Amino acid sequence: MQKRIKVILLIVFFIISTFGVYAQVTLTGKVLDGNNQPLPGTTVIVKGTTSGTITDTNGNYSIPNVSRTSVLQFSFIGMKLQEIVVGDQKTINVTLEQETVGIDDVIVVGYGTKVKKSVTSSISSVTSKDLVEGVTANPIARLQGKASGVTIVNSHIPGGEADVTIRGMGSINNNNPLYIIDGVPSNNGMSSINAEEIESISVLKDATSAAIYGARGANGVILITTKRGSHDKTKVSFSARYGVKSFNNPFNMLNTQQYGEMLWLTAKNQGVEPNSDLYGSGTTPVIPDYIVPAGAMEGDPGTNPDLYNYSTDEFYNITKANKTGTDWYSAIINNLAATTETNLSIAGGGEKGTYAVNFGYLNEEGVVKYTSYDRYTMRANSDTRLNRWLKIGEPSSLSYAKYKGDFSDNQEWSAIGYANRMWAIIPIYDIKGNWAGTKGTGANSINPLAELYRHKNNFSQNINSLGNAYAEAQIIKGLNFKSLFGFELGTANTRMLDLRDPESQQERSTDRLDQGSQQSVQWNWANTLNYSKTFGSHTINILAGTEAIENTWRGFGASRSTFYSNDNNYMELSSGELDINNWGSSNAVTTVSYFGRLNYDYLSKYLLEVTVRKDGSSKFGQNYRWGTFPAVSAGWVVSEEAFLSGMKDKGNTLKLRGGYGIMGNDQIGNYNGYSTFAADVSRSYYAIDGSYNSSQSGFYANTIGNPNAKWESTATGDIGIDIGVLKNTLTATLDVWNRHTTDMLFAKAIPFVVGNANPPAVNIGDMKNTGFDLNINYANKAMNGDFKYSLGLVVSHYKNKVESISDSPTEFIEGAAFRDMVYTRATAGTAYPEFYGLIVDGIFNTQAEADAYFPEYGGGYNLPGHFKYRDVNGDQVIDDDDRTFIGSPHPKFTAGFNVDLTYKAFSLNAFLYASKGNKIANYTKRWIDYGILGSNLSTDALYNSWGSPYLGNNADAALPMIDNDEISQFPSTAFIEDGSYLRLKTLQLTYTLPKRICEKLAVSTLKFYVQGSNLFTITNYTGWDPEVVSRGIDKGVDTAQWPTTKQFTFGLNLDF
Amino acid sequence: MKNKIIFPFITLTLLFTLTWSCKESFLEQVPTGTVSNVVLATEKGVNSLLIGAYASLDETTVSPWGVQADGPDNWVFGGVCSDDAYKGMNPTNETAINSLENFTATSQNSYCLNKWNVCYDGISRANDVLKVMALSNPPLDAKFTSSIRAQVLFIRAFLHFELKKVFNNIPYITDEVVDPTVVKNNVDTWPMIEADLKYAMENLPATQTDVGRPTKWAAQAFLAKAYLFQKKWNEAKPLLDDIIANSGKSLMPKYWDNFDIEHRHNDEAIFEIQASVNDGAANSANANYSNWGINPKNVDGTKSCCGAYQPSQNLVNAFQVDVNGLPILTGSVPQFKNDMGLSFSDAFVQDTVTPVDPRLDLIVGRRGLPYLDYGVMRGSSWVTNQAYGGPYVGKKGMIQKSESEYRTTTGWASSINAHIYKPIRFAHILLWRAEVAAETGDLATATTLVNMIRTRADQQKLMGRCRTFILLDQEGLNVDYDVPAANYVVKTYSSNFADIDFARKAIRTEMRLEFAMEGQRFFDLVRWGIAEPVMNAYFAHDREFRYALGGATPAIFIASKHEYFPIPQTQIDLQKGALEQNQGY
Repeated sequence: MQKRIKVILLIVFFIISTFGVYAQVTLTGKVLDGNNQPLPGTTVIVKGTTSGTITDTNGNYSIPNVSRTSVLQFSFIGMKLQEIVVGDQKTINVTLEQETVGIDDVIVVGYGTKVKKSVTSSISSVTSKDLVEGVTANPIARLQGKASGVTIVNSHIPGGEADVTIRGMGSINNNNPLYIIDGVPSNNGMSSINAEEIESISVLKDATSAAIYGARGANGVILITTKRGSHDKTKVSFSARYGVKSFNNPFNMLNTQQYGEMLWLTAKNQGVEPNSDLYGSGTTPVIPDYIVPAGAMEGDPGTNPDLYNYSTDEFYNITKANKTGTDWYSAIINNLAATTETNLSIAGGGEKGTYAVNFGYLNEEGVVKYTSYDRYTMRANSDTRLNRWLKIGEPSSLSYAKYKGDFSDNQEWSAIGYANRMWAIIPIYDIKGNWAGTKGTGANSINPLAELYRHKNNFSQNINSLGNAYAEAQIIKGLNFKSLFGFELGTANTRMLDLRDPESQQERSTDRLDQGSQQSVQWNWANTLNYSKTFGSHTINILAGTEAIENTWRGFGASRSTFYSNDNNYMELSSGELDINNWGSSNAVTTVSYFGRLNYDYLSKYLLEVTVRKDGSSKFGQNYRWGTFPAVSAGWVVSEEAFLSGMKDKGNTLKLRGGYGIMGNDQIGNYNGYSTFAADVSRSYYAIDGSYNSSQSGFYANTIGNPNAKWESTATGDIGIDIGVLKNTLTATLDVWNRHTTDMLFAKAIPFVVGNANPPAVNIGDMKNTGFDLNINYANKAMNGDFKYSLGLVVSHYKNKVESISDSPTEFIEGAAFRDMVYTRATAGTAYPEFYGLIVDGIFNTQAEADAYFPEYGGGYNLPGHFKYRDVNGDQVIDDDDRTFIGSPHPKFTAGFNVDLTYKAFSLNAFLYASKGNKIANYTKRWIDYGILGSNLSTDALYNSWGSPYLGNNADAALPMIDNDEISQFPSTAFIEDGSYLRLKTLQLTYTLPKRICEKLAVSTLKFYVQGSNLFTITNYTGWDPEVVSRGIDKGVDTAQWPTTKQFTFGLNLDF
Repeated sequence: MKNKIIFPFITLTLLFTLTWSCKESFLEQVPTGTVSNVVLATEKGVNSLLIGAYASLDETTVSPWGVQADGPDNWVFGGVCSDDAYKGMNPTNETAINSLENFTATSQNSYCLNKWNVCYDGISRANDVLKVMALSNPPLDAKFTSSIRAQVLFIRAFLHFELKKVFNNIPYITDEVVDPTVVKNNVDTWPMIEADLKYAMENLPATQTDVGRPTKWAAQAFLAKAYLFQKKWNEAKPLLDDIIANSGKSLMPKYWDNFDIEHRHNDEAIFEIQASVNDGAANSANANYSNWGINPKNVDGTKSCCGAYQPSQNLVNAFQVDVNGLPILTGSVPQFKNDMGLSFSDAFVQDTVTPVDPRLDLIVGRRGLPYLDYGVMRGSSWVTNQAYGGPYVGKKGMIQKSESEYRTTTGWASSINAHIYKPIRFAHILLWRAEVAAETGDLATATTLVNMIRTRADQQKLMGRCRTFILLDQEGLNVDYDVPAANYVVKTYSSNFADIDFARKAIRTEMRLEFAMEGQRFFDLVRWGIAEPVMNAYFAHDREFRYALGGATPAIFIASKHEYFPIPQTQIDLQKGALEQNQGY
């Protein structure tokens, strides 16, 4: 019934708007701003028509032939739009109010912009004010907790990339979102982008917003728009910050005496006589005076300093024992590591064009010694209106970044990994001040400080340039054509030195130099036609476009060993004598796309959007080269309805929207369709002629192709509600969504009897994600506006489930093996991934108890002090078949909570971030609690392990018997911990100089701030940091990464 | 006004047509740096594929880093799993070997998986050569194809033989198999190994220009070995006689000639696995990569890792001889003195009185004796973890300090070198022939052949008796290089073996001594059917001072199970219905 009324109304409206022209007058008037100053250049139009004018220099206007039923619209950039019904008036004077929300009203969408209130899809938009003054160089990392539906885990190395996933894990393949900067796809990482250059970031989360990017939209799209100048004034901004970092090591490791006791305890647990090269073999460990020679005491002829020899052949580095113990973590941590950032920008423009130029410099020292990151960024954006119908522009940037030092992270072969293993008895230096190490001690590690020092000249320098040149022409009014040619050039140069470390047990035999150079070149050419027209209450907007992209990558590298001198300046490829190795390769991807979008808006009340994109990609064989990705969404602005007029009048809003669409994912490697043979000196060469230093070229089967692979497709549904109450001081957005990925590409494991060629990806997987994104904001003021406050809460939740991986229900994907142990796995019915292992039901306290239990791994493990693993499959035998899924690395939800308080010139901002319900596999425990590879151990191992003489009652043991038994170290619930945490990410106090003082100083804004970041973390996790960076199938495995640091920053922002 | 409309419109049309017209060719991107099978179907391409198949003989081809696996020298399955050697290193290193050594390995064991992986990869490469060769149009020259086929079938048989020794129940994959994943492993594969080797034997030349390619004699020797494994004495006999009489191969004058760089390719080698270092391969993947851990630590100038594969006390004891200079074949073998528990600054006097076979000190590095040209072996300071791995270090596979150009200069595992491993040398032919003779009642021939080996063993002794008992630094040592390092005695059997039992003992012991630390002992124990008593006696004896064999979970060998290793579970899972697990696992 209502519908019919609407239709009738619609028809009537058409008739009225077309023919209802009568009683016309000429209107005049003046437009003023809030300070009663005339506002020249204000657009005055008769709503629903093309007639209108612009105010003159005195703010006056005049429009002939205006009907009395007409509505006049007054608009000026930065001012609130005003509409006035003409009625009987002949003169209408208007005062325009400052637009307070300004830029927030327009958000960037694919190939265009959109007024926020007409958006029907799910987009998180973050503006520059939320991005600056962050503690990370990477602007995307600063989105953490600010954009709902986006899960971000920050890397803690300087200049590190963040791990970003949007709405869960859509695929077992690449889950990275697509980044677009000013219309140009960016592949070279976000850490090279200066946050100060960014105006806004839009995160396209659902199908309707992202389907315009078709085959690459399935993981979500992050659109970055950079700052432009304004037509009227020149603004010079300067900002600077200086910060220092610190880090407190939470691990209590054994000191020299304790480690000796630990050896004795371990021997006792193993039922053998203690025997140590260093600590002797008596009833108790004896701390020696020397570790080289092993276990020697003062007076031992072997300790005669005259025997000391640092030469290659007769190396003998006499080293005293550190009797109190070396704190290896303190040795490598660079406390008070400094960060400096300065930024200068000049933006402005004139009648015809605008410009924005930005220069930024960032220097960040790593919290691990001898590491640093330098970044220089430059951006020049210009937009010029050549004439009334043609506009051109060229926003582009150049970024140079240099990583210096040893950035090894998240692995055992890193300074932190070595520090985990290094015994306390080993000092940093030997008796002559050279590096001391593990040689002669039987320890398996490398002096981590020496390693950092020797790697201090290593670097990776990246030069990235991204930008575009565009021309935008108005063909007829409402019809615009835009041609954009974008480019992204990236080069990476790496230089790695591995210098000899004669003091190490497993030393490098020669000095070695590795250099590499890579270059990526991408161009994209997008042509779009945009038609926008309002017919009375109907507004349509049609977009049609094509885009072609070519991305090529080329790299080569070389290495040499054995140099006359290991001087950094001498070591070049041409001065290396041996091990002449070279490599080089390239690849290319091309795509062609056609796309279109239709927006329809009736009375700003009923909204509809339809999108379709057709993509062709070189990654797929001819049969499945093309894919089509449609999406549709609709919105209903309920608060515009007459029956809710009370709501609208109070300034409140309510919008319901929903959408559905299909997107693709093409991240499967570039040449999946081809079966290839390759020649590789390491894998298929052979010295058939018996030569000892050369080999002959041979081929091997490299890949098996699947020409029938097609796109992964992800169907996404989204229902959202936007609500604003209490005069829009309290706003909330809730989106409930699901994503269903089918035809998921999976390289099905092939048995070894087929050989080792890489299997092709085939379309067999199926994965589902469901979740919700919630934003709540409350902003208000008190005390006559002297006190302003706002609270913001962002909550994201997703649930991921693998429906199937392949046609075999038992097919699974497992994570990487860390020292033979695999912690993660995904199979049909689980999340991608979950932790997989045994369930510990306690520790056997007596032999009788152990004997009475089912045989564990053949029965030899059934001993008091060992784990009692659960018989999961009920076969009364404990073995690998009892492994099961023992926790998920996926959080139940993540949340960001933001508080802004401003009192006069002071403002205080606090930002808290929480991750709840995710588990972490604490792999570091295996090193420091169980001592693999003879590593140093935690005090827990000595004091709280089963059988420890310090433990009053074995039933209280936190750890099993420490006896190096591998079965105790099998992945199990003993290593899985709750990774939930709440962290005060930033706390910032800002003082803004009052206007009157500013005027005296001839500046427009000057503010100072102090900021503390990561000041506290509430967590039960026992590792270094619950914010664990690990991607894809290895998600949630903590393997000795750089920790999050506390940081104190002082900064100032100055605008002229 | 006109321009305003027309100009963009034309541009627009142009742009659309341009992108459209070039789209299909624009979207054609072919892989770089690789070729397709059709392109390889030429003589040159087939030859290159064949080199790729040869490359898999060193069993390190699966990744450029080499997988942590046993190589063709089988130091783990053939050596550490036998009574010859301990794993060495630290208990926490390469723990997958711990469970193999103690016979507690499960079907998850990574060494089993990697062995399976590398061997079948090589087999697949071998079959690819034949498959691609068949694609050539017009067909390639028949002489060429039969020469290629003979080499391919040799490689295929060699790798299946490797798998057969370790896993016994294996699928045999040939180029005619359409789907290798359905081939069952419950079929007797000896006939297939024999068939491939017969073809190779009949079609390979008696000599090859490239030393890496198998000759007719190599194929014939492997065929004889396959017969020996099946106790087909009468089939083996003529093959072995033919090799002895006609191959031109002979024993090298000195025992160590088989293990030094100077005689890398020698007349005793029946077949060699080639190794090259510093040839441009990452981490020297074409070297004898499985040698990565096989050397002492702290040896001056070697920068070596990791001290794996340490000779057992049991093996050292076996080198003692009786008053007649013959191995002690009856009664208990006495314990030979060692330096367990002593630091290099403690005094230790090595036993230079007890008579020992001179091969002992060519195979085993002992404290106080010269170690190649590295100086005197300094006891526990050259051993990674003496309490765990015992007092001895191995010598085979090590190169001399002076031969550094044969050692890789890359990476951490600088012990990797260009030593070539000889799976079969002429000494094998002689002792196998002795075994055949004994088993067929010809005790006189058996005795003669064993004596040939013992006579050669007497030609070389380790010189250099150390008269310093505290080993601080090399320079201060008092070593008399004109005096043998120990009391070396090795004599021939003066009369024919008395009976078959004695002959077996004598021949088997001779094989153990001659081929000690060459990765063959365990497979021999299994084929002789004596693995269970020998291994359990060894465990009982050596666990006395080597805790890793005892402790809380003492090693034990279960007959009818531990003769073969478990088939990797992941492969059984992937090939349900085709693969069956070995008995007992």
